[in-house]
Amino acid sequence: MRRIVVVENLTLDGVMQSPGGVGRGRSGGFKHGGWAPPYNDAVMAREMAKGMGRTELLFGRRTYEKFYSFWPNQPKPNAFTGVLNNTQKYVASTTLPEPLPWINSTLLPGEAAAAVAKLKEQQGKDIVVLGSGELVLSLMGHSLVDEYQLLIHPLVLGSGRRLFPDGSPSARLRLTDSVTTTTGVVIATYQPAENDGDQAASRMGSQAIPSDAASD
Amino acid sequence: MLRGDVAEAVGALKHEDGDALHVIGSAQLVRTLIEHGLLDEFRLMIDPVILGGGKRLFPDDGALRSLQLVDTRITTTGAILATYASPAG
Repeated sequence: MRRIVVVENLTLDGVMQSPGGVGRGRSGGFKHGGWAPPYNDAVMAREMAKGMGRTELLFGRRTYEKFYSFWPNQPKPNAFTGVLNNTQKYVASTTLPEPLPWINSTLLPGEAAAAVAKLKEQQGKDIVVLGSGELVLSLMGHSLVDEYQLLIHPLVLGSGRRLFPDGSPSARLRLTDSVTTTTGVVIATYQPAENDGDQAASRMGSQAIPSDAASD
Repeated sequence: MLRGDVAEAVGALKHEDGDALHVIGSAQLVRTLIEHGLLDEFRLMIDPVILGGGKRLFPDDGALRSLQLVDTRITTTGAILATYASPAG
């Protein structure tokens, strides 16, 4: 079974909209597009590079179009254009026409969750979802997400689309890793919990503190 | 008892000398203090659970608030205890 890994830039108040500021990023009157790049550092680059070239990518239409409008046109050399062009990309959309414009792209037509469930049945690389908020909610609702990697930025925006808006599916998760960048971003990796939170301590090692000692 | 306008009362309290004032829970009070820029430090327990509803800590007022992460700890149950400082002022 292939795994679906959701990787998202988030603010502390859960906003996922327009971190890169690509395109107008103004949907819904959102004024803060492009909030993430000032926090990029070597730690984040190293963590994000772990998957580069070793996974395939899955997008909803909006994020696919934003990425396509930006990355293939970036001046080379840069770390990402080549990798993104060469990586197999799936797009879940009921409206995008074929042929898809970006090289190495495959349209997943029809109902997204069903198409992704079929994709998971294959043997192959992990599939990373970037952005794609609506698609992520649909995948969550069908229990198709195997891992979340949330880059929690030390920033509150007070507006914008959230990754987990009101009405989103609820879920219990298990923290499997946590890395902090020099710029104060907490990169937290979660998997769906099978049972309640007994696994975290063994992976966190000496950093773990008992939860009842955590409150002053 | 602090009477009258909360922001004014807490603002006045902050000007006094003394120990730090800790606010625990009290969603409405915290919200008001955030809106008036009266909080200096946040200690947030980021729990490994998605609720899909409920009260949120920060207001939806469209205001960008940049914070500084000063510490993180992980609990045995997978909560992240993250301490953030507000810029002075």
